[in-house]
Amino acid sequence: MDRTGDRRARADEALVHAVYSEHGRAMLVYATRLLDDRAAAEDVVQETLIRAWRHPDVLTNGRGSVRGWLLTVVRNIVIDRVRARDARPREVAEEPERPPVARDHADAVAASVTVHAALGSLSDEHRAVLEQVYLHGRNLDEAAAALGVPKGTVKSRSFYALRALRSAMEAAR
Amino acid sequence: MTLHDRGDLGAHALGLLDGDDARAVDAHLATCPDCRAEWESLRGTALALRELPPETFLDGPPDSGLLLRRTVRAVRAEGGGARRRTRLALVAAAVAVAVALAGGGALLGRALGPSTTVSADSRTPGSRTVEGTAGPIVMSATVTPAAGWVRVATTVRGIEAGKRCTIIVVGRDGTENVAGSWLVSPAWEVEGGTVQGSTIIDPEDVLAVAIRDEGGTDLITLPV
Repeated sequence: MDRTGDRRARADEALVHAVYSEHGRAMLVYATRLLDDRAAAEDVVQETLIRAWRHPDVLTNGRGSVRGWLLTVVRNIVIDRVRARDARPREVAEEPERPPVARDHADAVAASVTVHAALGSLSDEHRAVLEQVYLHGRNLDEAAAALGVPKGTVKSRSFYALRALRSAMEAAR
Repeated sequence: MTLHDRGDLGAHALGLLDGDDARAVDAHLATCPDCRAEWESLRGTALALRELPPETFLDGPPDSGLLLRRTVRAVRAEGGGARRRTRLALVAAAVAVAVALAGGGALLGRALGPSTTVSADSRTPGSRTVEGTAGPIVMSATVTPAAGWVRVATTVRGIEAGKRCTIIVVGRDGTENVAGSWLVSPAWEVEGGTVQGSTIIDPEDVLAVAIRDEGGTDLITLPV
């Protein structure tokens, strides 16, 4: 490879690394949950990263928006793959426990990007309390213990976190 | 509960209140229009969040670097397929792109913001210097190969005073090696300063040099 080509390759690799190191875990865990298949999920994440590399303009938005875009792409690739699989003659019986995946209406996707962007604008403290509820499914006592703060603090942060999220979403409309 | 205790409203909207507490809030909401309006709005916000995958809250890389290596190979195979101009736009957000032409560091970045020049230092064989910007931050990094390890010198200005910075050398397989750290002084922010460091990594495997702050954010990343 000549020097110019080598430089370009390194720049590309640095770009992929940057997206991967910030959003890779969210993408892979999400895809694995949808597909219930780690190997297939890795393929989907790789495809998503390549699309991000081809369309880097979307990556210049805020962190929250970028993650919203990436997770939406993951979801759409999963849906396309499930459809493609279903269009082929069945070789394997459908697994009944796998949840059906339906493509969002464009509106819903756009709305979720707004929520993502708003979430990206929250302080770490506010984001952490929402994380306790939405990601870990913890109750008040458990969230207080996990965050190392009194229950009253969890309550007030819940209120201010939702209010900050609401303001950010309204500002985006 | 205290009347108009907004903390309880937030916790209730997130479903954090159990039986008695939840009933007490509901009873209050039935009689207080102000709280009721606030509650409905907060509840709507909480439900909007429910539309997102919970994985939204996961940060960082996956638990294995294999996927990165595979993806990098795929990108290499596709090489040059993406338009350089838009790539440079992305870099404004995250990374500065190295653009070097054989025979010298011509700049292709122009007005697109961050750009990088790369030059070979004739005095030290194998040593590479890259320069780039990310927003207000201007950095030059020199990587000098040694036997199985590298020396790194970074000259940076424009990082906010008080930031605790770490020099990270990124390997081609995604590994990250710390090569030093420093605390940015007010003078340093304006005039810049140089930090010398070193780390064990095969010089051939060096992909990029990044400056990371104490919160784990990469302030600038330059491909080497």
